[in-house]
Formats: sequence, structure tokens, C-alpha cells
Amino acid sequence: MRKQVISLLVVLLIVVVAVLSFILYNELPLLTGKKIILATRPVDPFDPFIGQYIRINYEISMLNADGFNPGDNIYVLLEQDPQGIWRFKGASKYKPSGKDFIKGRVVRVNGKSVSVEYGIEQFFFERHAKLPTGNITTEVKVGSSGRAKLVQLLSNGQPIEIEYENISIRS
Amino acid sequence: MFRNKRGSAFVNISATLGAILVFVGVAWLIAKNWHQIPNLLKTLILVLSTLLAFVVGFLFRVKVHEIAGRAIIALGTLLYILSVFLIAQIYHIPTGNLQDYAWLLLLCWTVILAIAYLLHSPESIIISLLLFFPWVILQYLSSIGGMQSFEKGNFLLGFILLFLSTGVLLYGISLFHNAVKHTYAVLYKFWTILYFLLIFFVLSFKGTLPFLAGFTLDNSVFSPFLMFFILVSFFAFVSSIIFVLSKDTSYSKEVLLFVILIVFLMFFVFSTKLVEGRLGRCLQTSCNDFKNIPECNSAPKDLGCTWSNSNYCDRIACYDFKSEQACKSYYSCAWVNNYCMTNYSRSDSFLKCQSYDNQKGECLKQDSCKWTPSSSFFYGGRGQLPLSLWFLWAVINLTFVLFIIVIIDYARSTGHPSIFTLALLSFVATMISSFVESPLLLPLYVCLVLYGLSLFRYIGGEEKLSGYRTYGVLYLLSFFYVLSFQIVIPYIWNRPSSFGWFGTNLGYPLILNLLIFVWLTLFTHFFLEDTKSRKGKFFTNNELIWMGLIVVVLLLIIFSSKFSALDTTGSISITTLSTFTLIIWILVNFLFIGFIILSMYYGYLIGSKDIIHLGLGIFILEIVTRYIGFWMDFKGYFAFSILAIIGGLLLILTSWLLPRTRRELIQEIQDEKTSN
Repeated sequence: MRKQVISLLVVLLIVVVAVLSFILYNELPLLTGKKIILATRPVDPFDPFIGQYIRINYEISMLNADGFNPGDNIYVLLEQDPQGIWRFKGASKYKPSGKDFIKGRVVRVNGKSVSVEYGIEQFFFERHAKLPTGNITTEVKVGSSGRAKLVQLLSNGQPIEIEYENISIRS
Repeated sequence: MFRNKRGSAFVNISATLGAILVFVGVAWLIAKNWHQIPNLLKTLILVLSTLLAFVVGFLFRVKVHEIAGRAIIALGTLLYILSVFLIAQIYHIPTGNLQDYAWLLLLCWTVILAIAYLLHSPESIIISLLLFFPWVILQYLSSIGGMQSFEKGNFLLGFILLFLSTGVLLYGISLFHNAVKHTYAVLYKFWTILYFLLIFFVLSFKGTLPFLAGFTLDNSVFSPFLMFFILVSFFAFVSSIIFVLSKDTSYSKEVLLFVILIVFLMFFVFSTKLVEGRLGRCLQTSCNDFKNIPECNSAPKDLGCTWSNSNYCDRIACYDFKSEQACKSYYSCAWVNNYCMTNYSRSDSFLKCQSYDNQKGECLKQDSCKWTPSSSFFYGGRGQLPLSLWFLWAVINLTFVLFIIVIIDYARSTGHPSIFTLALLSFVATMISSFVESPLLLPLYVCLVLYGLSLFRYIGGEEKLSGYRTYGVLYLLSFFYVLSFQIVIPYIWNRPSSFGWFGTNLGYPLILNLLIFVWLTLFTHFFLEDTKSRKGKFFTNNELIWMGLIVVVLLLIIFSSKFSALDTTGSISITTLSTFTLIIWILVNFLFIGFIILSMYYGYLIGSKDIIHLGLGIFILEIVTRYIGFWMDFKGYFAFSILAIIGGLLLILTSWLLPRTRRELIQEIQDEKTSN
């Protein structure tokens, strides 16, 4: 019996540690990272099959850069413009020091045109949300390693308040 | 022979269903108001529910009821998965990214595997292995950068190597468990067999072989992940063999057969090179084949290619052209009713390329043509199938059937009904898929069906053959169950336009199914003898009359539903049903319950515990289904959540109480037998 109780306690501990570590891993850039605002490109806001997130295409999702292959890590240097939006300044294969950058992964290369993903391309919300689609930017926190986390969507520079339709579905 | 574990299996299923229902109910209830709950509270709700489920499940096992406790622990593992995916959603982790998704699955299956061992929960290990399957696929896909290498056959080779390694790894783990006499050994063996059946299944298609033949053993197959995985599997396999043989040499024959199987499969994969380049389609190049801007811009004009905003070469969007002249300047567009639409008719280039099907060399010499390895068997039979392909196809299919027979024999000798069922199901699956692939071989498949029936004799003579009565009852009960849904009746003879691909209404397939049942029953009656319990014919005249009567009733229901076909309005709520449909629906459900009672009485008369269990199980299913149906019709999804939770708890309770009732009924049968 004692052995069984110890097993149960170990299980509870494993679950708590796994969940907390997972939360901490995701929370770290949000707690320690630097806030930046990124410009997006217009996208179709709804996926008819999934319907619970939008896929965000950033200005820095498509870059002009040399010497990259699919699967490579890429460090994208950023510079803030007068409107407070952070824009592409350059790209490097190695972690830059003393500069503002975001880390991504090259997914496709066509000549000098490089498609990059940063792990901030999906924004989740519930079904039946009413979401503005014009002039969208995103607030992102970037940790010292360049790992980014999406904080919120902004519309005209202001945080989006997502409203939900109050509907009743019947079979 | 198999150990009689069906009673406990039934209780197990009932308890697990209960756990799943509670899980769905909680998930639905929370999801309904999800956006109003702060993220921290959402996470707390799920994590605390997970921990609570483990504690309650543990206490149930120790103090109350073993199986109900196990079901609650299984519920805990499902809640843990939900917690991980909830946290992923809160932090907007992109599930569209293969690697991110693979990490999530890894976090789930590894922790659940640990739980399975620590709490000795077989259900958790099944859940863990179920998650392991997509994880290994996603991780591999991520490591090769997606599905780009598909055309070269490397994709298929990669998957076969991946499944082979997984099978080898699981077999090694199963041997290790055998050596230490751990009860999970059979679970791992089940999954090993499943992976090998999958490999055989994939290879059994004629269309697969020419694709596979195009593999090129380069980096696009052997990603670092696959290399690592192969090494780990090989190491686990070899060390387990050494370990198990040092303890018990009786496994040597099984291990030898396993090694022969691996060698055969590898040899077979390489021998597909015999048909490389012999079969394939010669297709017109498409815009997607041009990988950069200059190539895209210089593509043949009739393709109508343009470099898209998403950074690839795409077909031009015809609807952007507002004038007839601009529209007609592209072959891919057509001017129809003052709109510029996509022209789907086949171009001259398409037809020219098509004439070089199955002629790789000539195809590649043509402008605007590309070669795609495949079997032209599907495409109107252009070109002949070479003898080498038929040979390979026959070898792999015969070996597949042989493998299934070996597995059935293994299941029989070791007493594992789950492995037996798996093997039998794959036999049915391969028959169906082969039939779909080559309908012209119908006579062969009829022979295979007869062979399949004869397997009932092979696996245990009359005792198993009598199972046919149970299958017959199950078949008719399932039929009633399908017809008992209010949404089915109006659609039996009225095909809704949304079922466009379906091609026909439900009426004909239903009738065809009944005729197959009649055919199988008569076949069993006249060609198979139940020599043990009754000399001569398999069914008594009374049984045949009752079966005939039930088939007639089912046919009457199907035909009478013709009159309810007109009231289909697209909505499937009970409030929109006509009175006539409603009457038929109520009648079907009464007849269904009547048939369930009749089946249980029949089981009682012939002394079949299986049929009694079946009747009880279907009765619970019918009640639960109707209950859910009513609530969803009248109260919406909130009520469904509550109902699912209550229903789930009831099922767990039933799994606790039912064994007692069942024991009493079976005891009665046994008492009667003894007194006779």
C-alpha cells in the first residue's frame, strides 16, 4: 500500500512538474522579453475548418536574404520606425550581440526570397468571435535568445477586445 | 483457447465509455464559456481536475472497484492531454507547425507512459501508444522538412523504415516485458503487430509499388531523426533478444521468424526497383513546378502562371480579368456569361503528354510534360501493367495473408483475442482495399471471403463457429441501431445535395447489406456444419424463420420510409419532422427494444453468454443515444454537457453494479443446464 501511495505521489509530481515547466518555458519570454510591435500583412481571418484561430502573416515573414536553406535558424535584425513598429533591418545566421533581433526558422527559399516562421503565426480565440480585420499589428515579447511570444493583437495601435456572439446552436 | 474475459471486457468498455463521456461533458461545458474565464483559472481548472482524477481513481482502485478506478485514471490522462493543449492555445503555440505539434505530443505521450507504469494503468499505456503513433510521424515529417520528397518515392520509403523501426522497437520492448513477466508485454506485441500489418497494407496496393520504386536513399529519407530512431530501435531490439534468450530459450523460434520478416520486407522494398520507371503518368507541367520567378514568368503561356504573393508560382486568377479580350488571352481562362472563369477543359499539351503514360523516357523528352510514377491502372488502363509488377504484387499479398494466418495462429496458441481480432480486421481491410483497387478480380475476392469464413473453423472448430450466431445478432442489432436515428429515416430515399459525392441514397446500400446478410446466413446454414451441438445443418428451422421475419421487418421499415422522404427540409431537428416520419421513428425504436429483448431471450435459450452481454450493451447504447438525442434537440449543447457528465458517471456506476446482475443471469443459465 505504501509503495502504491508513493507511486501516486510521484505521478502527481510528474504532472505538476510537466505542466509548470511547460508554462514556465512559454512564460519566460513574456516575463523577461522586450516588447515590440510587428506589422502584419492582410490575411483571410477565418479558417473554415478550424475556425478558432487566425493565421498571421507578418511583414518579416518574407525577407530578402542570401545564403539560407530551409530548416536554417535565422536571426532577423529589427529597427523601430517613428510609428513604433519594428521593421526588418537585416538578417544573420548567427546570434547578433547588442542589437534588437528576433529568431526564426527558414521554411522556404526561392532565390533571394526567404520565407520565415517565428512561432507566432497563430492567434487562438473561441468560435463565434467578432474580430476587426483592418490595420492589424501584433504585440510580441522577444527574449534574450530571440525566442518570441505573441501577446495580443492590436487594431490601430489599440488592443483588440474580442466580442463573442451569443448564439444558441441546436442539433 | 481464449480465456473468457468478455464479461470483464464489457464492464471495462462501459467504464471507459463513462470516463470519456465525463471528459467530453466537462470539455464542452468549459468550452461554452471559455472566453469568459481568465487564462490562469482555465489552467487551474484542468490541472486540478487532472490531479483529482488520479487521486479519485487511485482510491477507487484500492477501496471500491478496480475497473471503475482504472477508468477514472484513464480520464485523468485525457484531462492531462487537454491541459497541455489548453496551455499551448493560451500561449498561441502554432499547431500548424509540424515541429511544435510534435513537441506537444512528445510532452503528452512520455508523461502518460510514466503514469501508465507508476499507476499500472493499461488504458494509459494504450493512450500513450496512440499518441506515439502521430508523434513519430510528425517528428519524421518535420525532420525531412515536410512532404517535398513525395514524388521520388523517398517519402514512402521513409515511412516504411519508420514503421519498421517502430515495430522493431516495440517488439524489443515486448520481449523485455516477457522476460520480466510484465503484463504489458501483450500490449506492446499488439502494437508491434499493428505496425507490421500497416506496412503490409501499404505495400499491398499495386499503386504503391511504382511510387516506392522511385526512392533514392539520400538525405531526404535519412534525416537525423530517422537515423537516431533506427539506432535506438536496433539497440533496444538486440539488447532485449540477448536478455530474453538468456532467461528463456523458448523465444528463439519467434525471434528468428521476426528477423526473417524484417529481412523479407527490406528485400521486398529494394526489389521494387524492378518496376522503377516502368509505370507512371505523363502529365502536363503545372505552375507549381516552376520554383522561381524567372522560371514562372517564362512558363508556357497556356498554363497562365503568375508569381503569387505567397511566394510560389500559381495559376492566374481568371476572375481578375474584367474584359473578354484580356480573359481570352490565357488558355486557362474562359469568358462565360460576362465573367472570366477558370477553364478546366483539357489542353492539347495535356492530351499530348497523356499519350506517353507508362513511357518515362519518351515523356521526359517532350516539352511541358512531367513524369509522375504511379500505376496507370486507375486511369482508364492506358498502357500495360508489366509482369514484374503483377509478380511483386502477388508476392506481397500472399505474404500478407500468410502473415495474418501466422498472427491468428499466434493469437490462438497464446490466448489473445485482441490480437486475433486485429488480424481478422486487417484481413477484411485488405480484401476491401484490393477489391476497390481491382474490381475486375471479383471471383478472387469471393474465394477469399469463403476462405475467411473457413478461418472460423481453423481457429477452433465448432466452438468458434457458433460465434456466427452472435455475429448475426450483432449485425441485425446494428441495423436497427442505424435506423433508430430520426435523422436517418427521411434520408433513406432522398439524397441531400450536401452528400454530393455519395452518388446514391441510403436505401440501396441498406438493402444490399441485408441481402449480403441473408446470403452469408444461408451459406453458413448449408455449407458449414455445427457438428458439436447439433448434428447436421447449422441453424434450426425456427432460427431461420425468425431471422427471415426480422429481415422482412427491416425491409418494410426501409420501404415505408419512402413516404417520409418528401419532408426533408435540410434541417435535422425533431421539430421539423412530419407526423408520418415521427410515427415510423417511434415504431422503429419500439421494434428495436423488442428485438433487443428477443435477442437476450434467444441468448438465454441457447445458453450463449455472449448474446446476453451483447443485448445488454446495445440496450444501454440505445437508451444513451435516445437520451442524448432528446436533450440535443430540445435543450442545446449546455444540456448535452450536463447529460454527458451524468451519463458518464452512470456508466461508471453501471460498470460497478453490472457484474453482479450479469453473474446472477449467467448463474441461472448454468443452473438450468445442470438440472437438464
